[in-house]
Amino acid sequence: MANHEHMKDQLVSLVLGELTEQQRSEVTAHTAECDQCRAELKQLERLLQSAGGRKGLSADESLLQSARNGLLAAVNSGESRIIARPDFRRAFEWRRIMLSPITKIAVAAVIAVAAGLLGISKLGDHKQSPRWALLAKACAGEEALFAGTEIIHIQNEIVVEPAGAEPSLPYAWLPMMSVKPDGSLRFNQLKMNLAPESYVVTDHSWYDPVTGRFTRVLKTGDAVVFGNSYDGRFIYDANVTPDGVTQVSKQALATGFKPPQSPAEYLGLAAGLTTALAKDDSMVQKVEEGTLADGEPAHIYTVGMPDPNGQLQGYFLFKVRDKDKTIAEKEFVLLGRTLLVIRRVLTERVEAPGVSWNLAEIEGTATIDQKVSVTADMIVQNVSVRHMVDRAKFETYVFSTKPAWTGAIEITDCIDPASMGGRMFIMTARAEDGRHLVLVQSPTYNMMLGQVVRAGHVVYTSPNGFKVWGGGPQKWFAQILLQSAQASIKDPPSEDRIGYVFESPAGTFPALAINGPVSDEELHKLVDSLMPAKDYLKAGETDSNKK
Amino acid sequence: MSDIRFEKLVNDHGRDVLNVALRVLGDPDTAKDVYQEVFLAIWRRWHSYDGTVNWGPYLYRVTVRKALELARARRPVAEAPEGCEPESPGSDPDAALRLQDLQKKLTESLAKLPKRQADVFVLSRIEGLDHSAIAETLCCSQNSVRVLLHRAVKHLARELSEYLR
Repeated sequence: MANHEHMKDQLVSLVLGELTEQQRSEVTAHTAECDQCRAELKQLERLLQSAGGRKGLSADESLLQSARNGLLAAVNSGESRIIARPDFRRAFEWRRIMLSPITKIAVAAVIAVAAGLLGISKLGDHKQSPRWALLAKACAGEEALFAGTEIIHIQNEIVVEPAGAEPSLPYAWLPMMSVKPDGSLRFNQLKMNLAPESYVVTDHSWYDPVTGRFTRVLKTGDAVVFGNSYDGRFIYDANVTPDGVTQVSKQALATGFKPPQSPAEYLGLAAGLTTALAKDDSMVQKVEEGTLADGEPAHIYTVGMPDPNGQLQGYFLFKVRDKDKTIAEKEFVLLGRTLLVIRRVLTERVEAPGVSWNLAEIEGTATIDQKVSVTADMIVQNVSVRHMVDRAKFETYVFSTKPAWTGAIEITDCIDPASMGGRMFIMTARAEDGRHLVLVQSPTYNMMLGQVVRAGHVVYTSPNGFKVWGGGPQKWFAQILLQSAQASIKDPPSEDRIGYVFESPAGTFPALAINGPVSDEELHKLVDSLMPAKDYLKAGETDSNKK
Repeated sequence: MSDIRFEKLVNDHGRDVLNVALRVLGDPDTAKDVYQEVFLAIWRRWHSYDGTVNWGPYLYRVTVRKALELARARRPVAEAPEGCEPESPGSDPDAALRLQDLQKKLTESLAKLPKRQADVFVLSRIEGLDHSAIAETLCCSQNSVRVLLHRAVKHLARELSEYLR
């Protein structure tokens, strides 16, 4: 019996191949005589055989590709933690909803529309609806902050909310303007990684209304993450090198330098947003009465664009203090979750700026902060076809001839944050009759529109290999495209706007919107004239897509 | 670290991660979820990696853990896998069915094992790593690997006795 127990203990070692020759013979001899041990040995062998059978499983190419696409789509849509839930069926349902291309495009649209919101164009004449009027007053109030004769110091804080158990994005971002040596604005992206704990980025600006000098510094704790200033002779930019040291560049003013029309365009809480909102108040979804964090009464504006189902996937809340009609808080909400709160904590008149107009004094500061970074040139306007070809990592197309019914075509290059490091190219042409044209090419659209177009149908196949898809949510999509091009086309989307998605021979999906009706003949001519941008350059034709 | 490096990581190790998940779970759909969850977890903390991570062993470890975590959370769903090439059970239909049953139950039982035992069993018997490689991957001694493997085999044999006859 003792031998049986001992042999039984050896069975696992036997199947795992750990026994010496002699031990193996002894155990094998025992199992030949002992039914119980023989049965147990058989079970162990079957167990290991079954496990070993798994070694033969390997993913084929389509499974790998599908997994990779799923990952990229999840990164793109911010769908970052939806799987490991206790209720697996619910998790799959949620994933199914989130994988809806429409939802993803709606989330991506938050970004695309932001590009339109950031229109550089100066504020023009426009009719103000009552809904817009109060917010317009608040924007005007924002401009009034920079009037007077004394230096104004404004301190805002950006509160990055905790990532939570199920963060919708790995990071939140805000557009952040800086002034270039020629007086135009540079559109930067302030990226803030979501962390388990909330943290604050402080934003200090000083502006001298008499001389136009300004200095702006963003910090997390003591670490400078960004700076931009003008001391009357030079423009300074403070950026952080990858090894965490602040580097200040100094550039002489370009001939004919004129600072932007109003400091509110690049400093303060309405920076970048006032002009676009003034042109198109359809983005203001609702106005409610509420209170600020300090308990004071305020009007709260919800600004964003709903998806085809009427859902607001991402939006800004502008909280306007009733007392002085200034914007006291801004909040960014994505998929029902507040990611950022931007709050004014101080405005004061001072005798001198807290940081010199010449940013050289912060050069070399130790600034290790891995949570916050700045990407320059979030949007670059009026670029050439060559620029587009050089920067795009996919086949881009241009119109070989300009449509007869539009003006010159301009190309805007902007970040496509819904892809990993990709760029989005927005081609726009204004038309005298209001039928402005927008063609957007981006990695996100290339990846997602293939599924969306199937909700519509092919309306035309061009001899050049392009298929034109219409129907489906095209009107909604046209609105996104037109709003993303607000900076150039300057008019809000019309009721009779129309949208098409082109399926190119290279498998990309350029998306077209026209701000009004278009005849079949006009559409066909437009599509027939599409050609790869690189071939267009090779052909040495004049750059009519830009000029 | 840049996004390009993240893409490189996905390109270099994606197939291994997917294969490990597939072999642990026997289910392509859930394996895809594991792949996604593993890389998304890395993406979320991408800024915090300092360039010294030895990705191979790290990914082995987290993929096995994540796969078993999902196996614990899910209802039994594994059917004949699509998109992968299973080893043929032979021409006997009954044997094929029994093997299929056993495969399903094996995943469920693995998910019930203490985590370290499950890690060792998967790496040894499914992934075919030797004790030294497992010890390196799990940052433990080879003796620990041996002990944990014995316990895992006994545990699984007991748990699956009904299906191993």
